[in-house]
Amino acid sequence: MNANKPRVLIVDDEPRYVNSLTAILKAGGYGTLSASDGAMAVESAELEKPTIILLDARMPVLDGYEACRRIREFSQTPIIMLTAMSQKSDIVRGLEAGADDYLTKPFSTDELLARVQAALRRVSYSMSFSVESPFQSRGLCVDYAGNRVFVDGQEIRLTYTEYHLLCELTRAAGRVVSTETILKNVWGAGHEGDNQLVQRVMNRLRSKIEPNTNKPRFILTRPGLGYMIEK
Amino acid sequence: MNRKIPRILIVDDDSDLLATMSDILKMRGFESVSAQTGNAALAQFEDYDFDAALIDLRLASRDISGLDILSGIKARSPSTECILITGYATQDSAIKAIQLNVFGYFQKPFEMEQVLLSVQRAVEKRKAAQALRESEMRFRAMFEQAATGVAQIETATGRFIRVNQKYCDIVGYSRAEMEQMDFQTITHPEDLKADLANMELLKAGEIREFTIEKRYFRKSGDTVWVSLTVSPMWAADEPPDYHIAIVQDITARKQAEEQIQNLAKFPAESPNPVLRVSADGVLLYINQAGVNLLQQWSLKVGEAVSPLLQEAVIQSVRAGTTRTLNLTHGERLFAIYIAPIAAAGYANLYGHDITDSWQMRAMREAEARYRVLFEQSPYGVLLLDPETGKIIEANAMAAKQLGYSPKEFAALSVSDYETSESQEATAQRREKILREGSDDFETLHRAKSGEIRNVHVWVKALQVNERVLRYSIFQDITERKRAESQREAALETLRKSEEKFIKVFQASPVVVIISRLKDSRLIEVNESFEKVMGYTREEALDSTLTGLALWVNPAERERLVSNLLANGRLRNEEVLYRTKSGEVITCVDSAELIELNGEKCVLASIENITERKRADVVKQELEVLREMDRLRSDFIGNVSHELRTPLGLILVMVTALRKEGLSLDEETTRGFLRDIEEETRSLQRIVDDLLDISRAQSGNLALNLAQADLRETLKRAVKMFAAQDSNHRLELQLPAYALEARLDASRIEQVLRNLLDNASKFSPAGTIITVKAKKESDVIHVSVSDEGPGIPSSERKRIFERFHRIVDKNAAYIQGLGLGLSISRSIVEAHGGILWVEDRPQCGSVFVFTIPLQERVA
Repeated sequence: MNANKPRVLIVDDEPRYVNSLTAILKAGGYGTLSASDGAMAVESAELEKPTIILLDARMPVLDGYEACRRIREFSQTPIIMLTAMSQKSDIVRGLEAGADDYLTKPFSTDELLARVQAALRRVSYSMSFSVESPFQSRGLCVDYAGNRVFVDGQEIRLTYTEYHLLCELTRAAGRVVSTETILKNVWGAGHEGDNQLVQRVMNRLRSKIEPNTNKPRFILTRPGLGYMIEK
Repeated sequence: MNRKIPRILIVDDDSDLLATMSDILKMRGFESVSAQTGNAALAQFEDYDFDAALIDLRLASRDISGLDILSGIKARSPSTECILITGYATQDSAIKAIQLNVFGYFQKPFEMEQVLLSVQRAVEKRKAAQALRESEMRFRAMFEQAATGVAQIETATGRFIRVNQKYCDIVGYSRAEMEQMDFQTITHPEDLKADLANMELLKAGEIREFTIEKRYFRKSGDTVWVSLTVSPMWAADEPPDYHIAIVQDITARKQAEEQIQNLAKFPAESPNPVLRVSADGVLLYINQAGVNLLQQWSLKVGEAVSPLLQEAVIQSVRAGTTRTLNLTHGERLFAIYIAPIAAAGYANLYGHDITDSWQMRAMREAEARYRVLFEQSPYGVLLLDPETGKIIEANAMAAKQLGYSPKEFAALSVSDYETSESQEATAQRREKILREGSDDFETLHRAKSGEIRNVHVWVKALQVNERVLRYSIFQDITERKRAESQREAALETLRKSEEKFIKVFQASPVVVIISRLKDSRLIEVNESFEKVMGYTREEALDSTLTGLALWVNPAERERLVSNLLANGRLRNEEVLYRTKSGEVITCVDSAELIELNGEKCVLASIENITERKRADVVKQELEVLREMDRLRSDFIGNVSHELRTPLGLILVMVTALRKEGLSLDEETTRGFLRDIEEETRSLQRIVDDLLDISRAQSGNLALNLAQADLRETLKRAVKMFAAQDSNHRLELQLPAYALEARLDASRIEQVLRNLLDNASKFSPAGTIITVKAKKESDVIHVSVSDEGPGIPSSERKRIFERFHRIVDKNAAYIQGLGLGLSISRSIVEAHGGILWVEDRPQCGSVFVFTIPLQERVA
């Protein structure tokens, strides 16, 4: 196994899914790990430190949402929730639990690979070295070189997606960035129109960096247009 | 010394003279003793007492001189008078002799007659002296030992020279003290004058002695009455130097005398009657105060007193004891005190007006009685001044009832403890008391603690001297009041409860009836009875439930009555009644045995629950519908899951196969194709099941029946299942004989597949699943048993329901739609058999189905 290959943790209680996804991702050039319930997923995420996690929402022992919440306590690894139901409530639940993206069953191999690649891109984006000088405004500081975020001198831990989202705004500081642009740049193709995805992750980001989410200091909403951060 | 004959000692050395002298003296009536020498003469004094001695001064023997003899005699017997005779006389010897106190001195020759005369005189003198001495001795003895006080007093000064012991005792001074005092000092001033006057007379010689009664002051300060007799000493006619005072203590006598005097004085001056009645009952004397009684008591001096009095006097005198009797005189009452004076032969009667004292005593007794009543009354009693409201007097109970000490209470006014009264009411009451003299009422008193007590008060106006006081008695009736109010409250409660009962009885939506136990006749029915049962009250009364044909099942009555008698009551018995209109209603009966007007009755309440029952049925049906709805909604979720999984797998695999640039190896590609086929079959089964359940529901489960040996069908089914489940060991136990039946082999296979699926799903990997078949009378018995945990009894019934699936807490969902058992049961039943699960908790589950045996017709 090539040590540089990104490794995907596939979590599903249906072995037929695990088998087929493993075969497909291997063929796509990824390393794979698998788990058949939430508890195993949390354990595997901690021990194996996968690059990306595909997490089925409905599982015995510990369901996908709870597993996601627990993984988020120690890991920023991008999590893509797999859900059999396309109801909004399930998607929202996943995003609020800390997932970065979701895939509704049934999905095609193309969809699967695109999401995994997008997630991987966000990771590599964050991991990339930069010589940019840090962004600093109103107590918010983004250290691009160190991939670190500070609010009033206090370091804030963000997921890759959250960090990517924040950087989209700080790099365009002083300008309004549309939801479409954010979706395209942060989640990549295939998310067109999924404003909810942006909104949920934005909420998560705001709850981490804003002292008062009801009166945002840093990320301002421009209804109908998008979001912006002041210079 | 009682010698009558004087004895004379003659001392002379001349014996002739002696003899002559002796004879002469003898003749003259004297006794003489002679002595010739001086010593012999003195020696005679050893044996004799001599009245006189004739001594020859010059004795021939000259043993001792005549003068020595003289002094020797004087020494031996000073009272013996000595007469000297001498032959020669010298001046010296004469002087010496006189100095020695000789009685006579004769010179020889002497005249015998002269000598004899001198002797005579000497004897007389001595006799006198002797007598004097005796008198003195007697005086002395008397003086010292007298029972009376005797004192020698110096007449001129009144000083006590000598006093005897008795005197000392009388006046209380010691002898030494007495001898320093004069009589004037200790004499009572009132008596001194008389005393001194008598003394003057005595000194003047006008009286020889006097006796007076006078008082001395004793040393202790009290007076002592004495009888004093004073007489001068010795000299008869001359003023005396000394006198003798003899005193006798007469205090006791004096006191007695005083009493006597008083007594003597009393009768005349007494304001009370004094009578003297003779021993035989004749009135001898009556004083002034008694005169008034004469007429009343029919008394006359010199006549017999009344028989009553006479009797009393006679008895009193005879017995010598005093007696008292009471006699009335008009409105006055006298106590007569009879004092007998036996010696005098009469009795003194002292009357005493005791009318007042009687009244006083009666009053005192009344007062005492009142006091007792007052103090020990169980009621509070008090006397108060209605003007000021001040308490004049109150008994202990009055204070106690209100929690005060008697002292505290006495300082209160009515207004301090009376609370309930308005001023007008108080004024009205005061007027009433003044008008009618008394009143009684209930009021409230405030105790010291502030507690309000109910009291009943009796008040009476009381005229005392000039004032009208109020005398009130009060009784604490708080407890009684409380008891009364409790009783009233209890009665009120009872009344209310009765009212309530009547209301409840009449207005109760529940039918309430009262019937007599002995003949079941209805005594009372309420309005609801009329409404529910359709009979009017008039129709119902005096009839019975049976008579009204109310029982749907008349036997019910017996059961209910015997139940009621056995337990004393009935609770919630469901009974069917037929109303007047013929409608059958369901009721719940409760009944109690009660006593009404002395008769045992049954109080029954009958609640019509027909509507409720109907509602319950509707509710249950609704519940079932809801459950169905829930199951259906679950089912749709399950269907979507069951369909999505194979579809999702097929989609991802197919798109993987088709994706350019995705280098799937050959093995993966084959595996994907195989999986796609499997998933497609799975979809097929789901669709079949859905169709089957739909058919079964509509009763259109079509069977392709054909004569077959069930063993073959089972073998095929097990073999097929074994091929897909490698996790369990499958055992097939078939009999050697054929199990012929008419059956749809594919359907029976479907049943078996479902049962095996379940067994596999609910039992651990590696355990055995056993399929057995046998003939049992006219059916074929097929069982599928596993070694899993078995089916909980609570689930056993429901597992055959459509869509029902056993909930596994450890599983997010259970594969399958929950249609298998339901479809299987429908298939078995369509074959004329039955499908059930054995009751074998904790031992794995055993599903059994039967198929009717149908031997092939030969």
